[in-house]
Amino acid sequence: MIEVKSLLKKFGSAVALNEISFTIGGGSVFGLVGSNGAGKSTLLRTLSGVYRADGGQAEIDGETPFENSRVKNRLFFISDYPYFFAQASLDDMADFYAGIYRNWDQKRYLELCSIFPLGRTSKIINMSKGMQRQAALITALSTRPDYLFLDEIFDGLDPVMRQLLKKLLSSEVSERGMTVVIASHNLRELEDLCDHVGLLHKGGILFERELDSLKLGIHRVQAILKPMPSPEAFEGLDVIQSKIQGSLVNLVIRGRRDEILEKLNRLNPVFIEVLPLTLEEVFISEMEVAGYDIDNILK
Amino acid sequence: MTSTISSNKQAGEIRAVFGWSLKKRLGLMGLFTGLNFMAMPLILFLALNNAKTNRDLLPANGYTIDLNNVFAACVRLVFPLLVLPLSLLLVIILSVLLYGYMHQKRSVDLFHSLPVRRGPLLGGRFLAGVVMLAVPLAISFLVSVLLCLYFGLEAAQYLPYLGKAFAWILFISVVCFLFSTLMAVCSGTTFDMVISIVVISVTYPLLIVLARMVAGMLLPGLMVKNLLGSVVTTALSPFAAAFIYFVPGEAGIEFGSFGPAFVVWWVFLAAVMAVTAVVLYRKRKSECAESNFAFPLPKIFIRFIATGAAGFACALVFFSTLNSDASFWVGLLAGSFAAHIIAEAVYGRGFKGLKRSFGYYGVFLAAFAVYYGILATGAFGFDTRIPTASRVTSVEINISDIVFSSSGYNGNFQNTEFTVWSKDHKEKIARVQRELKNPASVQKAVSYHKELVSAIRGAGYPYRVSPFSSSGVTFTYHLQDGTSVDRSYPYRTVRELADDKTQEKLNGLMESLQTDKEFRSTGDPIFYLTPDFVKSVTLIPENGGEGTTIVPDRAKIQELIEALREDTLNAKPSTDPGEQKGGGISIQLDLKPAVPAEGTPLREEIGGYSGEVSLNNIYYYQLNADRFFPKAKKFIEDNGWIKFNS
Repeated sequence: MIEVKSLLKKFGSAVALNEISFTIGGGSVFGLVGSNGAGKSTLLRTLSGVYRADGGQAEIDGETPFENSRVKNRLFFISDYPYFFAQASLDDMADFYAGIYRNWDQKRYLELCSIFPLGRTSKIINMSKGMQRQAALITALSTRPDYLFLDEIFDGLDPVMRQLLKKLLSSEVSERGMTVVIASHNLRELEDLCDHVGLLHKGGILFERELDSLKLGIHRVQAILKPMPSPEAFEGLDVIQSKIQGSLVNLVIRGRRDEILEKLNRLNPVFIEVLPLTLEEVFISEMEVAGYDIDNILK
Repeated sequence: MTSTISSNKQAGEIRAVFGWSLKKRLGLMGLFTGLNFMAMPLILFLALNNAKTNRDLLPANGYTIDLNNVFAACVRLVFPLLVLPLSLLLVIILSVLLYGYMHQKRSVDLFHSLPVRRGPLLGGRFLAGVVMLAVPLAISFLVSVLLCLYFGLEAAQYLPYLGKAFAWILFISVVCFLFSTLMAVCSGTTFDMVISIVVISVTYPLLIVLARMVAGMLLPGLMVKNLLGSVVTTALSPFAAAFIYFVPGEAGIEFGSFGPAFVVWWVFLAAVMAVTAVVLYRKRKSECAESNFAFPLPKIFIRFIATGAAGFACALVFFSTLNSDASFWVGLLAGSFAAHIIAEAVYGRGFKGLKRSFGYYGVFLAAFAVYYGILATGAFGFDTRIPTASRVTSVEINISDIVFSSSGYNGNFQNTEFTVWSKDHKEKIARVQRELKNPASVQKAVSYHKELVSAIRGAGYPYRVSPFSSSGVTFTYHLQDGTSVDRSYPYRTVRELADDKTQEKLNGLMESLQTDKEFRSTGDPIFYLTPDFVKSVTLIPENGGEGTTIVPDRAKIQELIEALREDTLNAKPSTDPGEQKGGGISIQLDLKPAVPAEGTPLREEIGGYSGEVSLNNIYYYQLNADRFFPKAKKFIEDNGWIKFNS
């Protein structure tokens, strides 16, 4: 289990993580989403023991990862730009990790090499961005980690490889109880893979919730109302976003679907449709609530 | 139990990092083993083989080639010019390769997330570097020893040479590597690490040398000697210290011999650097990678020494060119200010932090003001501190320029110190210097010294910078409490500052000192010489043509020695510089090794040494000048060895 309590991380005077707290249960796939510079990568680096926290705690099974090789033996971090030794091949990297990680599984390594279409003796530096990520994944999964931290792992992977990745991660989670934390802007992929999502913004955590409850808790409503009622008519609904064009109303409302329908039906709509939001839509609407001036940015 | 498990785990982590780091760079180690092989054993082989061939070809000429000498000459060149630079180059390359990871964000992500703590991560890499430094040197050493055995050299000759030199190079290379490790930990980028290593290695010794020179130019009496060889000069610069070991110096730091303070300091500093590097690395923030620095102290230190060295250098250049106080200050400010700005631009990647950095420039100016103020006011009484004659056991006086006292005595009778060598001239047995022990003689020295100090202080106080000079008069007092007091004065100080009356008084005191019997006889080899040492006498004509060599009997040699001693004691001072040096007929006493007889002054000087000793040949010029050598000239003429024209 990962427990983050009042975690503070500063870079000089800039606060990257502002006393955030949340918990990630074991055997789950946790998606970290957020705006650029929200602190996603910083959080992953702190959880991996790369960064030392300036305050609060980031604990993995009750232990701080910084300078703790026992915990680090059970985790693996793939950064947004994975590093490989100059002129190294996949076999060279495997050789390196095999000497470092206690749980290195050579059989698993060979198995993964046969799954991914990569040359084991080819120089990694000459590989494409997506292939380099595949190489990093092969070595990461071969260490049999209990915790896998992935930063923008989908970046550069083709659709087939994304499916393969999701399949591999899902099987590791279900078979071994591995915990995965993925920071990504690819919300579509996260939506398929994650069971929990945390939204970071400007170093703070806006929410951390189960994905299903999150998606089921926010809805997009399209309705035609004639005549258009006064704004007071929508009171009692937790409206996050609203757009009215003539008699057409577009609303993003937090709450249960049946409760929303019941309240809106009282306004005698000509047409009404209640749809669950995609993760991307949830992200945008929550960010708007948090003061992210999306309209201005997209102008 | 816990600590055992912990240390086992730590050892395991170090082993893993060490093994990988070494394995990955075996090619580099092989390359440097090859380069080292070319530098030392190969050149040695070629030199010895060539010498052996020549020796075998020329036996009939009576000309012999000593392979031991060829070996010594070869290694004296090859070690400082090839083997050591190669090893130091490897240090820099290894530092870049082994520690570059901590200067890139991507590699930091990998290495700092590995299940290896930072201590073992750094330690494993350091040990891999040490092995890579040691293996090429060890192989070179072993092959060189085999070569020496093959050529039949004396083990007593080559083993100490090779052993000490290789051991020193390995030791100082490891210290340099530790220094580079510390710089790597403190730097944000590999560029900064390399710049820091280079700047400290060059500017720190420069700063110390220049600061000591300026101190000598400012504070009367301060003896600035052994500028390069002193421990302080290279105290924080192992790369410079590595070379100093191979430069013969006054402090015993000579090729093949260890100055204890020098080695002790480096052992101590190596330990401090190792501990500091590990402690700082554990505190180092991973996010410092690709920043200007991880810890600001080295940057502040480097900027300070670079500012200081450039300030001193420009001040001295300006002063020596324009020779005025103002030029010294203009040079100091211009040089230091420019260096400060350049250092800030390099380390700060621009001028953004320049304004804020001026505070540090202010610190430099304040430090210089304190330094200058202390020296200009006499360094808390250092300038006037002269021991009273009653506290002095003996005083050594060295007058290195005849102009100092306008006295011709010193010009023609220059033998004021000599070295007693072993029979083969390879080992120093003793160094005999002019030393006054007689209370009356000591009093004369103290009187002159006091008058000199008074004249200098009277000519201008607080003191100002005067041109640097290594010649003049030097006093070394040995006191009854076992301590000693050194003072040195350049001759210009007196000539330029003192008025005529003071000058006259000083000349009188100097003449009284120079006509003292003990002053003239101690340190002059002729007063220690016995006929056993004289092989022949060579008289060289005025035009410098081929000389006449005479092999007199023992009695004649004794007579000649007595005549020269008498002339030395009775020589009159000259006020005409033209009469003083060079020209005229010269005499050379060709000496041979001998055992000093019991009860002779030379026997006393060599103490318990029982074998034959050698002295350098003794020369006298202007033998035809009656005013200097009347007795010796008469003796030579009476014996018909040569006919003088005048």
